[in-house]
Amino acid sequence: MWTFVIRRVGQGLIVVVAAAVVVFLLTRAFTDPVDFVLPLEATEEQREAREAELGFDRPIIVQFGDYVEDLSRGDFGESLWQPGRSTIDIVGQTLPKTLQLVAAGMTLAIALALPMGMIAARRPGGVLDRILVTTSLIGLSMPQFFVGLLLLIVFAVQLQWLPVSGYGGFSHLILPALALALPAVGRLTMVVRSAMIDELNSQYVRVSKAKGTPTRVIFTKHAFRNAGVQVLTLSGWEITRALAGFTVVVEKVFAWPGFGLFALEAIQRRDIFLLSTIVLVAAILVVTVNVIIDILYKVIDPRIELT
Amino acid sequence: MADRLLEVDGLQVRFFTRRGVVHAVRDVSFGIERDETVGLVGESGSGKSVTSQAIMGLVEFPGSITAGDVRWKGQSLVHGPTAAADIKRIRGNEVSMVFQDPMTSLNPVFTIGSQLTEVTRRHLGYSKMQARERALELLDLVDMSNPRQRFKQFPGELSGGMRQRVLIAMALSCEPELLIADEPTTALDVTIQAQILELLAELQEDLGLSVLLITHDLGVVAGTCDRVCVMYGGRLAEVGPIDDVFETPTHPYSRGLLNSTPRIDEVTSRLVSIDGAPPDLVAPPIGCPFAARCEACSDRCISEMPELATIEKGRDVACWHPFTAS
Ligand SMILES: Nc1ncnc2c1ncn2[C@@H]1O[C@H](COP(=O)(O)OP(=O)(O)OP(=O)(O)O)[C@@H](O)[C@H]1O
Ligand SMILES: [Mg+2]
Repeated sequence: MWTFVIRRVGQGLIVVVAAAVVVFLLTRAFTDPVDFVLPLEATEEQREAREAELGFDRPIIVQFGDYVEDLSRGDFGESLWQPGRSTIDIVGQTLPKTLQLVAAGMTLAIALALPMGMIAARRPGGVLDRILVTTSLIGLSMPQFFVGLLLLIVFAVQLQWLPVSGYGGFSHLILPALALALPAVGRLTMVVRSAMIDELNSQYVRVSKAKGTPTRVIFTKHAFRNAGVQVLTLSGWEITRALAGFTVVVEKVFAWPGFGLFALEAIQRRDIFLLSTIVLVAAILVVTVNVIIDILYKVIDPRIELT
Repeated sequence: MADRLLEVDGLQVRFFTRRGVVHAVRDVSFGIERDETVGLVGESGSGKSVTSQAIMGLVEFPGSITAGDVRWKGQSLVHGPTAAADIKRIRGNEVSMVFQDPMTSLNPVFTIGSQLTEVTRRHLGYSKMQARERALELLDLVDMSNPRQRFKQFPGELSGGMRQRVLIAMALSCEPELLIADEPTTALDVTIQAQILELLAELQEDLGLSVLLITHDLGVVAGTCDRVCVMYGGRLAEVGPIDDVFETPTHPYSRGLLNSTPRIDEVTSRLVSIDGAPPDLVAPPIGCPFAARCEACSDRCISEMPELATIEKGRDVACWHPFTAS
């Protein structure tokens, strides 16, 4: 088990390093960073002077050495858009807000989808099942921004129960978290449902019933543990998907000052250094989630090979 | 009659499917005495498994018991206010079951030990330690080598024969009085089949179990059972002591079935298979279900259903033209 964990973490580190190399190459080798630093109408002399000042005239390999050294010191460079602020500082301030949103949204999604999918699976084709499936299909087929706008118009503008936008207390979190959760609830419910139906039709469930195991235990212990692998796969995918960009839409709709919103801003302001830090941090997050999911697989299902 | 454990009385099971109502079991009655091994034979789709599910109260949606009764020691498990609670208490405890497919019958993500102890902990209220002791004892009882190691293993680490032994051990956990074995050897290799049947026979003897052995292989029944019930198209065709039915089968279907079974004690000239296919249970024939395939079929067979009738002591047959010894 521990060798498995160490191996997975090692593999994750390799991916992170690869991501760092790609980011470096994209920002230094395939583009000229000075293009971003100086206004378009800058003269050739100004460009060269600036290039020398920033060290971009040196061989690429030397630059890479510096880059790695900086990173290892935790120096991710300075923002162009907000001169004087380090990019990691901006990320450090916005990331927790995004994590908060993703955590709230995904917890909500999983907390809703598990019981919904399990209830639907109790009697496939029954009234309750049909209602839940229809609801899920509606949820999963609505684009995220649309869900966001809908919630905003109904609960914030019309009913005025909740704030329209911005970052604040718990009440500010509700609508964006819901907007992030609802399409995910749809997808997750469908997967929980179909995985549970498969498991409930399996022979070992029949045997468990013949042993006299109560239905509740069969549901929550036997079938659910087996359905878990599929549920975990999709949950992991939902979380990485949210982290790797899909929260942007929700952050934009609700003006939630998170990581995604700043990524958009960095693109608009041509802040290539902020953007590379954001990409790198997002890569680390995605890798971390995947490593955790892989370890959880192993915990719930002994059949998964230790590789 | 005094020691009749199980009584199936006029049992009718129907499945309400989109294709129509499947008449899976129609008017089936038989009993099992203490210490007795009864065989239930019939070809695929004749309703053997559904009958056993009805006994266990496990008929699956969209099916249900639409008429008749199942009585355990005289108490109904189908009707009455306590029936639902009774069947839950009895299932896996006094009556237990072994299934056809050992490869898929165990939950792959729990250890053998955890699945074995679940039964005694639930029904007998054993502590963790007691249940573990009992599980090791059971693994030993079904001739598993190295019980301690098996206890910690996952089903994936065992062969089919070993898994079937685990399942038998599981079924025996609470010292049941009746064991229902639904084609327990069909999925196994021939040599393993023989071992499992031998084990069942030994256990039956040692523990004083009653056994309902479901199979489509008359050869299996011949070696192990006291009585046999032959099922066809959801109905009983013939019931009788094993030797009598083998010597002088009276129902044309039993004869056909016997002719299509290779026998070790006789060098039969050739194996005869029964022509035709079993009836469609969505729209079963109004007459004898076997009429369409029967050599002795008459007009009466097609228009009128023969009821199970006693032809001599202990022998019942549902046929208008039974073969008789004379
Ligand atoms: N869940 C179900 N839904 C609809 N029909 C069913 C269901 N289970 C069984 N049946 C029908 O009931 C009939 C009897 O099936 P059963 O499984 O009892 O046959 P069997 O004698 O056990 O055959 P086999 O030797 O193949 O196990 C079949 O026609 C089958 O189609
Ligand atoms: Mg069957």
